[in-house]
Amino acid sequence: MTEDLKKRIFATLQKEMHVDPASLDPDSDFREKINIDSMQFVTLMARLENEFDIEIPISAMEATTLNEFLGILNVELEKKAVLR
Amino acid sequence: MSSLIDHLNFGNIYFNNKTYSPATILANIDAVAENISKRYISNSPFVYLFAPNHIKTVYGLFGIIKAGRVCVLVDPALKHFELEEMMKDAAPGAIIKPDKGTDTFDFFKEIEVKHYQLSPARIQGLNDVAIMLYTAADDGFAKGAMLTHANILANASSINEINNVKKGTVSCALIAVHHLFALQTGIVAPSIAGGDFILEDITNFKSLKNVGIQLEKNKATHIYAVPAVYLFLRKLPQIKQIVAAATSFVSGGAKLTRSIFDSYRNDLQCEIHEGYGITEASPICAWHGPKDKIKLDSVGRSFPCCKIEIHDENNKDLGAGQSGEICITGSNVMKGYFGNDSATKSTIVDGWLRTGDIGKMDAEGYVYLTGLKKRMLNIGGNKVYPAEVERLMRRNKNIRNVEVFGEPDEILGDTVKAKVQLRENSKEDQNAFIAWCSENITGYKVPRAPEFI
Repeated sequence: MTEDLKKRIFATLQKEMHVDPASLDPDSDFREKINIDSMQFVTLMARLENEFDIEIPISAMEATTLNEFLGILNVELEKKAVLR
Repeated sequence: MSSLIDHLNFGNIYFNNKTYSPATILANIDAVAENISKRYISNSPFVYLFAPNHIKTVYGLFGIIKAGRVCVLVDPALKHFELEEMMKDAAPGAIIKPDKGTDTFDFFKEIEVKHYQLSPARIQGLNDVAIMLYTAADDGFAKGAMLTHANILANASSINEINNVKKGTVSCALIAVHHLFALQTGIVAPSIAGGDFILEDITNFKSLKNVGIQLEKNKATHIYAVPAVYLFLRKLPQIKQIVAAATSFVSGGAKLTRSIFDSYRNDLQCEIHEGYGITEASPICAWHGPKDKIKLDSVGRSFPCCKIEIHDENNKDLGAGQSGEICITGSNVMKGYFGNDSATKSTIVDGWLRTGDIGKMDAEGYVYLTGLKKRMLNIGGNKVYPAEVERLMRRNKNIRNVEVFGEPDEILGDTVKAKVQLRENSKEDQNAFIAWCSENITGYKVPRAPEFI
């Protein structure tokens, strides 16, 4: 994932979660830390899907750390890049 | 007066992988009612119920009402600024905060009895009120909408009539039940029809993963949800099996996008019906009934318990095709706002509830929402009044001025934005300001990326 993409993802995350993602430990449970509930997470996924024109799989709901979540996004972003 | 309790006719409740029989449900409701009655020391009729999507919310709701008290429904995520204002307006005689980890009440731990005494004049004539919900308004102050037993029953019976909810149907509202739409469709309506219902804590990650399994296993027939949940359900690999038994899909809270509607209609042969409601009308006023032709931009036609007209400023009916204020009359219209006669009189005029929503009606009676008279935002089904958020934010001592406004958002309907002016020498930055807001104000009211000017 390029730095530019990561910046854009982090900007969306920050708006939605009200927390700067760069301030979070990427390998700890970020959902617990920022107290985001599942409905807010669904909204966040929908927002990222719209912004990057990707379809995020339901497995993203299982991601507990920021790195896991970014990994799932990266797979979808790469799929989209291959298709282009 | 016909009490809501006299109409209870439970089927089974499916919650947390367990089935609760009517006998179990009624025994737990009785236990809540008995405990409240025995321990009550206040003259306040109000019992606050923090209401998660949980079996204890069913016990608490009907237990409070059976004990002859008024259930004040509270968002469990409510922060102390808003709660403090509610309690100042209607001090409670008891507060119920269900522990979500268990399925029966530990009364002394979960029901806190309060000693408040209210002026007898203030609480006179509330015997027919069953439920009260706080709803904000243009002036930024939340008001308690008093809904009588008759109001609640009228709307719940209409849901059952129009949607054919009865013994053998399985309803599931995938919306937080502190919203009246979810409470009525997901709990009250099936509870008076002998229908089964599924309760799911949709704010919980583990439970959300379980949603599809429960809908499929219990053969859900009636699904009520907000657009974001329909989006989520669509992602589940077993979606076809999940909706196999469903005959009714209703969306509320926020505008359903064309892409979600098309995806269900084209891929799953399911039509999602939209409706319209307002807390002050218990809440549903219009709906696309199962036999109605779907008109996508419309919210449907008048609900059986009420009549809708489009009125001008003088409360005169404008007729088909004319744009004006959506007005409602019927047995679902609230008694009034608690302790606020002037707000009640300006909202209910000559028996018509003036909703503050602008719309029009076509010749076939379909209603179309076209705008708002009131300054309100709809954040994914949560109604937010900028004046209230501004007033709450001004309690931050670093702020000189703040302007809150909305920005259209294709996922949530609107998002909250803010322009913030700090006092000189203030060291507050964006992160600190957001952290302060998140600590004191309910999450969906907190602005996204506030701008400092």
